[in-house]
Amino acid sequence: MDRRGFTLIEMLVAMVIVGIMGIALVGFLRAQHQTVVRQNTGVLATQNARAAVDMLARELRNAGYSPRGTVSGAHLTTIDGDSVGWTSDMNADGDTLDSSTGKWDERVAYYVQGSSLMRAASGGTGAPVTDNVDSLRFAFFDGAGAATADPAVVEQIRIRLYYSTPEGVQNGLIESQVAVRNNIYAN
Amino acid sequence: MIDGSESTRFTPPRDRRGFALIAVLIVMVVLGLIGSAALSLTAGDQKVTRLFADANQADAAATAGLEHAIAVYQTNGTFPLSGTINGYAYTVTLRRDSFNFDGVGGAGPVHLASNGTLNDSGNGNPVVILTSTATKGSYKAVQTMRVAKGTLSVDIDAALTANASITLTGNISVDGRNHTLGGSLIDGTNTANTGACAENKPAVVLTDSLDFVSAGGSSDLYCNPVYNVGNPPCVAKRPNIVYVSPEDVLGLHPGDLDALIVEGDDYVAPDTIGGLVYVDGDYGSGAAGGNNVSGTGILIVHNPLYNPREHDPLDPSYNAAKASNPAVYGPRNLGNINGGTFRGLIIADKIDKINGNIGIFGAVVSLSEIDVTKVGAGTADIKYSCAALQAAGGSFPVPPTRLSWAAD
Repeated sequence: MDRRGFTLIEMLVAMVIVGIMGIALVGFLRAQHQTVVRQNTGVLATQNARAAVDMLARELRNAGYSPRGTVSGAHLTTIDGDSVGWTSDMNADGDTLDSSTGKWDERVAYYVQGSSLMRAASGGTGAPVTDNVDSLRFAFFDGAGAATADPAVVEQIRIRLYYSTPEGVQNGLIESQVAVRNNIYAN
Repeated sequence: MIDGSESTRFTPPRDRRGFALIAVLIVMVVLGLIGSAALSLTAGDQKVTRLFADANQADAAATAGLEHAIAVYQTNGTFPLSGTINGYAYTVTLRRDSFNFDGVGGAGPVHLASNGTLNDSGNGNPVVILTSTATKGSYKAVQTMRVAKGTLSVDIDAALTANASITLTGNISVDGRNHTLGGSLIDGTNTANTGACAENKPAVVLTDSLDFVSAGGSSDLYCNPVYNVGNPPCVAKRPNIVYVSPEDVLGLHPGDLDALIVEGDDYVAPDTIGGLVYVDGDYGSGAAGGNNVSGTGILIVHNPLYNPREHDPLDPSYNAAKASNPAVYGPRNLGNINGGTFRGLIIADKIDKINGNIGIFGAVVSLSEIDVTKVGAGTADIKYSCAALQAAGGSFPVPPTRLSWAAD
């Protein structure tokens, strides 16, 4: 009698309960998975935006590097609300024509195209640095901290990169400020 | 009697325990997955943050290293230089910059000329490359700066410059022609007059057009031949230049020299000047029996609160309140200096006498607007010397010129 097993009704009831639990579990897992994926995307977007701003800031700090005194006048060639361009003589050969001088190019511009932050080197076409960019905003300040539109007197540049993921889960702002030392120093 | 079959149908403990175990395991696995996903996200975020922090800390340490190196370079310290700031270590190396600027010959050591241009012909101070390296975690920051030692440019355009009338007496000689450091005339006939240091100058420059030079006794004035006109000759009037302070004369910012001031009351005038001596009080007063002045450098006798323009009723900056309070705002007096040989620049509010057999090779500047300036008696010499002025400028440390900066 002990080995008779479950009745059909018992089995059905158990299966229904297990089914309901299974469906709930799958739904729960799917929701969790989606959350993880979305958070991953968001974190990735944040990290990419941060890395892009860091790269831009580091490169921009070298603007106007002119150890031979040949980068004359305004070292920043473009100062715009949403783009920046500059020249520098990174390999100290007296001109600003070289590309990839070891690590850096000598004519660089950053701007936004579509939803990509673009970097153009040596007058060439731009290559995307990162995606998910809503907008890129620059502000230029002189030595007294006043906003200026004259590239020759710019000493500080504030960079603001607004980004968002395609799902719109994660959006935010990465901000950095750069001292353009070579616009302050003699050469 | 108990029905065994019924007792089996109802709540068999073993079966239910098994199912509960599976349910618990499933839930644990699910929670574990969620936890590990969250953990990996957090860990990734943390790593990124740490890398950024490392990069910024290494950068800051490298920058600190450069600043340290510039200060050490000015005082001829040794390289490579190592140090730490807040526990972050940096190392700075120094090497000479080399480049072929003119396309002639090979690359030569780069120099910064006094007019701010770079050259490889040895004109000016050498340019060195300071490279600062700092490491934090996996990040290595390298920053490079080119600098050249600073030299105070002493640019005076006459043997004697005054903002007041000058009375020359006795056998004094005021010579605007360029002399060597030893006081020998270089080329008295050269008429070049572009404003460069090593040219013949007027003997006297007056910065107020209403002032004049009264050359009495057997005093002599010598100068660049182009100024050898008028009576007395060798006097140029430049009312567009009015020096109001020693900083103004030396091309520095107002107050730059304040830290060097020695209070007049505490100052015991040494016979030998070395470097820059700035006395806030009378110097070499006749009452004290006169002084020899020897040595090389810059002697300043000036009240930092004194501005000659505030004391001149004809000047737009005239300040009656200050002009009537000479104890606080009045000029200081270079009294009777009468012996020794001085090479360099003397800047005084008011000059009473340059007397006896003193020899001054370089230049003298009087700031005062007071028309009592008397220079003379004895056989004193004031000879313009570009070399002496440059040597005087070299005796005063100014921060190195920063030329260009780059970071990896």
